[in-house]
Amino acid sequence: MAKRGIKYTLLVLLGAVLVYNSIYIKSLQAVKAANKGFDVDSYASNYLFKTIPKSTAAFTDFTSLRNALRANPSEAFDAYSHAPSDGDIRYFMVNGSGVVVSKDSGYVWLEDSEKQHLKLASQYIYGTAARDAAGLISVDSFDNTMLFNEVSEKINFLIKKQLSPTLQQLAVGDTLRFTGAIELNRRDPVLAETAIIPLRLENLQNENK
Amino acid sequence: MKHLNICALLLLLCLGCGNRNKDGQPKQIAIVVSTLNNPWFVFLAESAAEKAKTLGYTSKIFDSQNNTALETDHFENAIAAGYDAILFNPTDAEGSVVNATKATDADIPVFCMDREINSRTAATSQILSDSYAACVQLGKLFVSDLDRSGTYAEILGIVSDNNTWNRSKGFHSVVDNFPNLKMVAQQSAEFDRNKAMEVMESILQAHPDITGVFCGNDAMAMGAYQATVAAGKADQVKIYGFDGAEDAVNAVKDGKINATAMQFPKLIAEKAATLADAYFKGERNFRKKLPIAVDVVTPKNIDQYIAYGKKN
Repeated sequence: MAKRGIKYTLLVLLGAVLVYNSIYIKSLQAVKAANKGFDVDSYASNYLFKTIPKSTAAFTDFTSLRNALRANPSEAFDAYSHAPSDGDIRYFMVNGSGVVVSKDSGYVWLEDSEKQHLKLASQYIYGTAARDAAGLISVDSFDNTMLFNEVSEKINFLIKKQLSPTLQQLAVGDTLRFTGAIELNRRDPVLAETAIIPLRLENLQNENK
Repeated sequence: MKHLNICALLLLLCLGCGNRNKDGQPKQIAIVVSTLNNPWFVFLAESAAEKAKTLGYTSKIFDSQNNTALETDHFENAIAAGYDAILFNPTDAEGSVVNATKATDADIPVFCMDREINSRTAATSQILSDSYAACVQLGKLFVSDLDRSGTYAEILGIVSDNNTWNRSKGFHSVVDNFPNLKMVAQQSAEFDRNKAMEVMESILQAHPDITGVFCGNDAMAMGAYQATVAAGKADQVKIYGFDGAEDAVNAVKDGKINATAMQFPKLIAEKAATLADAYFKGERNFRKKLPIAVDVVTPKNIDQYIAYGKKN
């Protein structure tokens, strides 16, 4: 009788151990709560309107960059570009100025002090250049890459919303000062065909009026 | 008495399953992958095993068959068997967090490969393809190839996987800027070739005029291609995949599909094994998320690539 009691006790204990090690319950709400606490809108707005204006050390003069790329592309990429991964696509944060020489539905074309033309995106604000060019936002700060990418989309949205009025009012002959981000492929860095994603714009014509 | 001994033995086995005898034995690495029903993941797992062997470790591959419950069993078995590290390709961004956490709590480092879990703490490090940025590039190509107008479809992967949405969102972040490009169908085929073929057959019946389809992986792109061939529309529909799998690379070369995005499974797997090696040697500071760049492969640059990677 006693043996039977021990046997059943051991069986119950064994069953309990097996059940305990077989079931893990964690609320999905608890898992998702970590992401819900993150305010993408505020983060993107803070980056674009507070962090970027204070981060002038991260900017490269566009004309200087063009000359550096012509002289030694590899060194220019190593010195001035950022990217979250080690691939051929890299991003540069640039600033500069130029006179508006033409506009179309997607771009504003400027001529700089060296009489070179450069292309500023006015409609097609996409990609991750605006987020990654300054090298100030790390994917390590996010619970998942979807949030990291949402930040990029929100920054692009804010750029479009904030800069549309300035871009629409531009006229040929206006002088524009800009801060922007560009994407270049290390294997084939063709700066002339690359659109600058604007982050900040100043129409100097307006200041002089 | 006999039954009593068996019960006692089973109990001792269960209670003692956390003990590991590593003295003098090579460390063991468990390689837990979401599915071995897709050649890309087979290559990923085998590359990890090969690198582990090169580094002097033994390894075993576990197939989760896209089933989180089975994945849980694998983790429990790996922990119980005293594995020293887990190279992990998760089945579910949310559902797999608990498995990685359990291993981490048992002081077993977890290195995620390719697929992400939604946590910064559950895994030691996550080595992830930068799917979003790659699909921005694919989106630009798609817009250019379709000349900014026409109707198209999208075939999504597994909806609980972050890669599915990072790819879709990267693509749409570009394509949605062009109002003359209209998506007429968006459906999941769960990264499966046969399902994609069925989905594409339905899409072609409902929308016979589509001129493009964006697929969340190469297996689905190849399934979509089969459907377009069967419908006599292979020349009409431009197809875009993602992965850099062998048949897709050959299909780009042969002009059957327009592009794929080359992930580098060997690089990802070897990186994971190398990080495990570093962990064994005392390293504890790892980047939580380590994005790996993805290249867009088109007929123009196909000569630079082979299945799953670049030519040497």
